[in-house]
Amino acid sequence: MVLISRGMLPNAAMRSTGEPPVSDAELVARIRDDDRWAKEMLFRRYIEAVGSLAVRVLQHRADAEDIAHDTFVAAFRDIDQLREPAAVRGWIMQIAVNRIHRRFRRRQLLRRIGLDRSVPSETLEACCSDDASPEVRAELALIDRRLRRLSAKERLAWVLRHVEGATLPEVAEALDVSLSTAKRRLREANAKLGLEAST
Amino acid sequence: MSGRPDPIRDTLRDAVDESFVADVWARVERGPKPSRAPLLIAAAAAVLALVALVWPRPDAALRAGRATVLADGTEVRLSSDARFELVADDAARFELALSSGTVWMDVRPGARRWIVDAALAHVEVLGTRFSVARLEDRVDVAVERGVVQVDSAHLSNTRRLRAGERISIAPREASAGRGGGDGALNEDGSDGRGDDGARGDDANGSGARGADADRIRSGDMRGAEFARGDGRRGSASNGRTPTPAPDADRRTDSNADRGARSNADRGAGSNADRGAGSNADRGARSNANRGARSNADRRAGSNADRGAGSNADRRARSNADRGARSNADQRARSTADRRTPSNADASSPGDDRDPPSGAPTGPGSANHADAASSAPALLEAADAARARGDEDAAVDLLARLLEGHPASNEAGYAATTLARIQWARGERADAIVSWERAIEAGLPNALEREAYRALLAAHRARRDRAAYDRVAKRFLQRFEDANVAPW
Repeated sequence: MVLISRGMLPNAAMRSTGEPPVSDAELVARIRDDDRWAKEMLFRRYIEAVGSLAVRVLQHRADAEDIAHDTFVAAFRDIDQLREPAAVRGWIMQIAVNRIHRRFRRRQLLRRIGLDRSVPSETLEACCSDDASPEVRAELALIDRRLRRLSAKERLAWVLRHVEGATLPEVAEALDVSLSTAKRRLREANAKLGLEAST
Repeated sequence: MSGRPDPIRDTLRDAVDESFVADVWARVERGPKPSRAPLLIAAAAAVLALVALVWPRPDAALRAGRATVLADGTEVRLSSDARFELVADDAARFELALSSGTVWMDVRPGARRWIVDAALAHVEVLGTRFSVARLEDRVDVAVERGVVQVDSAHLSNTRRLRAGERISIAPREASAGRGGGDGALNEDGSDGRGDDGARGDDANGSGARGADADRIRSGDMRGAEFARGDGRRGSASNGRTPTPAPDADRRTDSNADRGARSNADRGAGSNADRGAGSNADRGARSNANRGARSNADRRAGSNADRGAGSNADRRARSNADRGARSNADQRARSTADRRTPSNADASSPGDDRDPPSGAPTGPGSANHADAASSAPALLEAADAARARGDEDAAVDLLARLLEGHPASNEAGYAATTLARIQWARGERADAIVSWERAIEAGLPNALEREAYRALLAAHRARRDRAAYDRVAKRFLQRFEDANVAPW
């Protein structure tokens, strides 16, 4: 199902051809004129980035869907406040990161007081591709366990960088922090995970 | 500096699929969620927590003070003082949380992950025999065979223990195998090389260490008892590569056994991955007979071959205790009895798996099968041939079965087995044909899934994208929840 449907995503098509057929700035302008097609186009262009980050950090699909929903509702609601339409991707990612951060902390609180006993269903190990070896699965399971040691901010930085493959500037932009702060968080996260210090 | 490291997502399935996109877009179009009173959220969470508390846990009938043989042949023994909780027991994972006491596990390698969480230490195995003892002040992990991975907040690194090695983990002791002390002893006096052992060796488990096995001191772990057997099994612990090694046989057929038993012995199976489901209904009885029979034979036989005849006896008895498969019991007993006297007495570590040349071949041999040409007899003879390591005879018998009994209940199993042998021999095109034939002949769900996955891997290896896509489509049509990696 995934195999077949993935090709239907406009963002995937965009990647394969390089430049998007309609620029982000143009989409933003049309959304401001309440163009429904532009909304859906923008949504489909960035839902993968938002949804994937939410799934990887929160490890719950339902939570991730909530986050994705809240992110795009807020983005469409506040799109008039966006100063640089061409930078809409980073802006959307910041909204998503803020919501993921909040959700993560809320869940931690609920867990602490015993109101959340849910078990993460979308762990790295659970999302491992079918052809992965038992060794890889074991490594992913190890990372899953150690990720629990990280704070929300560290986890976000680490997942963006090492799971999603974002560059350091992209990590800094999504977290809305300076490059040096992003590097520091990654260093701290790596140290807690017991990994090499490379960021 | 800002270059991208290889992201982990390359090894993961996509987190977002079209259903995710469609669901979220539908909700976005509906607009913001209505605000919910915090009280309602708390109440809902409380209800969920209550449900989670009382929700029934999976139960594999594990009991303190007794041994249990799981459906796939893995044996779990718990000390009488063991306190534990079975956290997960499904097709993908078996996890036991150990509060006190000791658990011994003899794991059959396969697709499942095996985990014992003893709080101070988290132990994961890839197919081995080991024990975890949860004591008041520490956790002891001892490996008899294979490799286990130990993770603990009290260790500086994740440790890998190999056959004959053990480790004690105490809250204040941060190392093991590094220079004596209670928490630092490896059974063979090594310096804890399990810590950074080569991955390749680990993947091959004890097979790669066969030559070293004689050096393992048994101590209280009976490590040497299994030494040569491990060495000979080669890739037995390697659950990734389809090889015709005897353990691979056991794993393979335990799937069939599991599928059949889940229907015929335990009533309607609850887990599709274990072979329950409509497919397994066809011929479930005969499958049960075949699976149980050959499995019991194999268990008893292979244990006896390994010089652990008492194990064969024990397993046979435990099967009888469970009263589940009288046919299997009978076979297991008779097989154990037949094989035990010659091998079980010779309990020395170097007992061979192969029968001595000129030894009586028994009813499962190729010679015997020449006379018995029924499908069950041919399949059983092929099993026996594989167990002896006589692949050519096995291939011949399986081909005869498929030629003479293409519509029999055994045809699917025979084609699957044949495909595995062919794949291991590098005969990829033939393996593809055999897997297709296995699917066509009909298999329990678990084996059918495996056949599809094997076909995908084969087409990928042959870089045949068109064939890969065709199989992917069929796989998804057959199993909606199948995860198929993009080309």
